[in-house]
Amino acid sequence: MVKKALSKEEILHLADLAKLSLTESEIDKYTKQLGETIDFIKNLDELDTKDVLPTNSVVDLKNINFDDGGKNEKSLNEKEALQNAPNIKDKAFIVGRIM
Amino acid sequence: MLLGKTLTQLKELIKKREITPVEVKEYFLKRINKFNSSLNVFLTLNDVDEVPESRGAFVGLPIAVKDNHCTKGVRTTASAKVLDNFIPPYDSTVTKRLKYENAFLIGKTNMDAWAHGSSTETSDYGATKNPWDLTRSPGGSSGGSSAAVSAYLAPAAIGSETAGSIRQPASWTGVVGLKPTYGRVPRYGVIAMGSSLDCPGPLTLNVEDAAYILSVIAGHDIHDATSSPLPTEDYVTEIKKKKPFTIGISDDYFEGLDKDVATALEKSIEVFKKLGFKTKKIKLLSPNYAISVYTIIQRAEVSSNLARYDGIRYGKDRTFFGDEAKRRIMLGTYTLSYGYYDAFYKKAQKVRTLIIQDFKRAFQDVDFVIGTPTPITALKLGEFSKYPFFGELMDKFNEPGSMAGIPGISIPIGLDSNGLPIGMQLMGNYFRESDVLNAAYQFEQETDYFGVIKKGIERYKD
Repeated sequence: MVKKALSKEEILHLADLAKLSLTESEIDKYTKQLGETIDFIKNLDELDTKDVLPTNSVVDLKNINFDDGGKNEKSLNEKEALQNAPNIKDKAFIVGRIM
Repeated sequence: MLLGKTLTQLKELIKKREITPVEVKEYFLKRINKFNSSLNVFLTLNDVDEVPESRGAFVGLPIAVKDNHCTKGVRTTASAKVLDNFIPPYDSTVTKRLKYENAFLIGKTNMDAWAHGSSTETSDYGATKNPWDLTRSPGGSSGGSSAAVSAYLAPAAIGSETAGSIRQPASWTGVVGLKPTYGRVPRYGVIAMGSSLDCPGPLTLNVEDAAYILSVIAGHDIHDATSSPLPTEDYVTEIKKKKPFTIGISDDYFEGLDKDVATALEKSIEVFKKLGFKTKKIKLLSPNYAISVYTIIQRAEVSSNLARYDGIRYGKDRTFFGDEAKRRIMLGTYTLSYGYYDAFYKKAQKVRTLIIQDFKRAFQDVDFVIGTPTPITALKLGEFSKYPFFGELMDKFNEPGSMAGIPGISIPIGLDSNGLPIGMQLMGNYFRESDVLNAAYQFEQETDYFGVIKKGIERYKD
């Protein structure tokens, strides 16, 4: 496993990937705490997993499909879908400009 | 006198028309008004739904629900400010099934924000207090639900577990808490923490009530592709058949226990022997590996699940995330990122396979693995921050079972020298909830939990 502590640049990069804005003190704190956690989880290296398959489902479920023509009870109507949105216009969500 | 009546007993009273569901609701609302301000159990009371008629499995009885279950028309926050104003347009499968059987969902209980924690202290709405000692934590993340039952602000509650979040608070507040097999109870509409781990389950005053609730909420759900199509059982009937079992004892699950906890656990094993149970020494993988597997997989799933909170369709934007959520998102993002995925996430999923194989091997010889949900009794509020990972080590004995997805039950077995409840847990084989409940029921019939549950309620007189 990786042996180095996280740098400030890496923390900022992770925060950017996760769309989180961190204060200076949070950056310091998470650098330290994430480093500690990463040290702890290295104990997994003690176990030989060369020939072990990773777990996908703990209860061995596979290939779950809806029946053809099944009723979709999950869909929300327009009012329900929009009722919690802070910013709507003409029955649409308003989002930030991306270009 | 309704004080301390179980769900089953209240059901009988309603059926005999000695009391109406509306009177029962009024009774609990009165208690909530009296005690909620000191305990901080309920975040929202249900003033939207009518009390149902006295029909169905729950005959109009009130049940408290952890605030990570979506309840149609009733605010659902997961104790996070991001969802401060969220009114779900639909019900979780669990609450839908409870309502279908005419339960009245009396209110939404406090929890660690997003269920991140084992103390309810990470709640954005303040910590819940342990009804046994207001300076202590009730545990978590289902601390509001366990405190609600312990102080009898509801006759039963729904909680949820990712790794210990039902069993640990049940233990610290002296009630019964059942974590079902992963996939036995659907997750649809439960605000997701770790999608390969999350399990809703009941917190109750006795085993029969837990069986009674499980009978309603368990079973396949087309809206949750991870729910199991295996048939459910009539759990209430199953618990009453006296069955002989073999209990597995693994030394790793007795390491580092507080002296009073260890003594109570030894005494409980003697009770099982007296009941005719056999015991057998077994050797399981050290729980220390499960902590690491859990840390990696749960954080990875958290970072993925919390990615949806953009404040556009519902809720507030990402600046409202609290400290613990941010820390978990950061680690999850790291372990899933390019170049680290194989070293962390994939490695963890492989070790998870070893943990599953380990339990499957053990359950060829024994019916249960015995232990405690927590090595110590309830911590003081604020004490968690002294421990690494904010109490992740507290859940050391719950994490292996959660990673494997097996069921477990926590029941009270006594009080420590400070007068705080001690819990024991039995972990069982996949989908053997009826066995786990059965053994706990036999223990209950023999000991009445040494009076722990009654003593808890007596502190909160009408």
